[in-house]
Amino acid sequence: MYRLVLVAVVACAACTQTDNDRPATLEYITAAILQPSCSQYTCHSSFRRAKTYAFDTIEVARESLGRIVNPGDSQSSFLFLVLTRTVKRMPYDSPLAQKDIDLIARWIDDGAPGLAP
Amino acid sequence: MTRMSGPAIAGAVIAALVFGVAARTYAYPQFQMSREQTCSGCHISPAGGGLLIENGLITAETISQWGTPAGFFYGKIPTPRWLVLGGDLRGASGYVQTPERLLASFPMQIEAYAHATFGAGLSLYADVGLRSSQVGNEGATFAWSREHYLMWQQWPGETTGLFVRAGRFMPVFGLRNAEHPTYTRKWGGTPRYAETYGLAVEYVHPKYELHATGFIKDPLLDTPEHSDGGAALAEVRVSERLSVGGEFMYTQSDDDKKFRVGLVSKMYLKAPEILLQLEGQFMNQLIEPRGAPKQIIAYLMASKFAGTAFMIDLGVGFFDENIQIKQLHREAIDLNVHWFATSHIEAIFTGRFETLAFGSGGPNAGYALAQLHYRL
Repeated sequence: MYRLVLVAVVACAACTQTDNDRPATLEYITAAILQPSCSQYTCHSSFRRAKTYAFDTIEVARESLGRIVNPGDSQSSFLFLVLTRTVKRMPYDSPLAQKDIDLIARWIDDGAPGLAP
Repeated sequence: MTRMSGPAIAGAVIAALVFGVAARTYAYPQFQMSREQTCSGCHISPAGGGLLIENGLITAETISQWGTPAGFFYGKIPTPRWLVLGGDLRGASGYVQTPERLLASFPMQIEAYAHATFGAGLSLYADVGLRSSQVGNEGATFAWSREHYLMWQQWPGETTGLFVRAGRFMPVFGLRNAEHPTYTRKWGGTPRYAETYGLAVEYVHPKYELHATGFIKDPLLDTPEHSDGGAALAEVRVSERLSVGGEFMYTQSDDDKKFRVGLVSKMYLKAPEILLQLEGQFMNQLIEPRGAPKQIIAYLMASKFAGTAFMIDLGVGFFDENIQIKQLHREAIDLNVHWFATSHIEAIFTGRFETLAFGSGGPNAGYALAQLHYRL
């Protein structure tokens, strides 16, 4: 029975799927993408701050991203570079989905609203 | 001989940090239904994992290739009846492709446990392990305790009844697989080092069990989980070979709220000696000022018990990061081959092949690692 429910949920969701209209905001990108993918205990958590960066809360992500994002220019941002390069690509354990990278690029190209001035 | 380039060496170091110094929070849920009806049938903790009781030691001995005395240091170091000691040493080496290709070797676990009983059903459980330390506080945090809690047990010495735990431990939720990259752990509310302070009320009966946990953000260590919340898990054993259950978790932090609801089930097929485990979760995340990704996280694992000392797991994971957006799903196929050489030594091959947005040309990832595990 529960398999039917699961299939029904997925099927309903699939019917209404959109291309990528998620909000390109610091809050969304941090909480939905960077925190679960990059902030493991041994990596970019506030506890470890690998390479001095932390992304596990919006507050610390705002400061860390401020050092690796050039607002308005995703292509020259170090964040975009490490997510897309072929050597030492991040995250190390599993790459981000291309649509997540696209959303981050859109946020940067929109001026990276929410970053610390 | 393969020579590694500079970037590859740097990558191996980072991979060691990502994969390494891992905590094996749980034991093997594969043994429930196939060997015992409950986790507490083999473990001190009613949620499983960590130190073993007498029946767990017997199981460790009987499933191993060359059964050796399963007690602490082969029983050569006697301890008083009120004290149980143990530990785990674990390391891994192998090939990682994410998608950069590299070779890596790393320690996974260096951890010791103690459980002291002091009457009236009260006991204290604690572990300590070498871990990656807190930046700026290395001297005080190179070793710290992942779990330490006070436990009251309704029927001391029994494996069933009411248990109440207060202290630091993982909220009881889901299948509780040992492998932390399992999707239902990594994305499903119980990632590596998600232990925090809380209170759990748990009732274990041969036919059913209930676990309710309330927890807070760790006030002492700034670990990755920054939420207060609650988790509940209920499981009914319909027969000796089939269990079904439900789960719920709510977490709230300064940044978001998460609601998780899911189903868990286990079925043991006796003739082929295969255990099937299934967990499916739906998660709704509320992010201010706007954003509400809805996720599906699912895992199906088939475990085959082969011969005396082998256990082979074949798992399939599915994770959709946001079911409202196309091509945000990923899939993984896991293969683990366990060889229980002695009651203390286990060799494991663990491999994964992962695809992003299968069928749409997304990148692939994977690893193939050989692990060696020594239980004190």
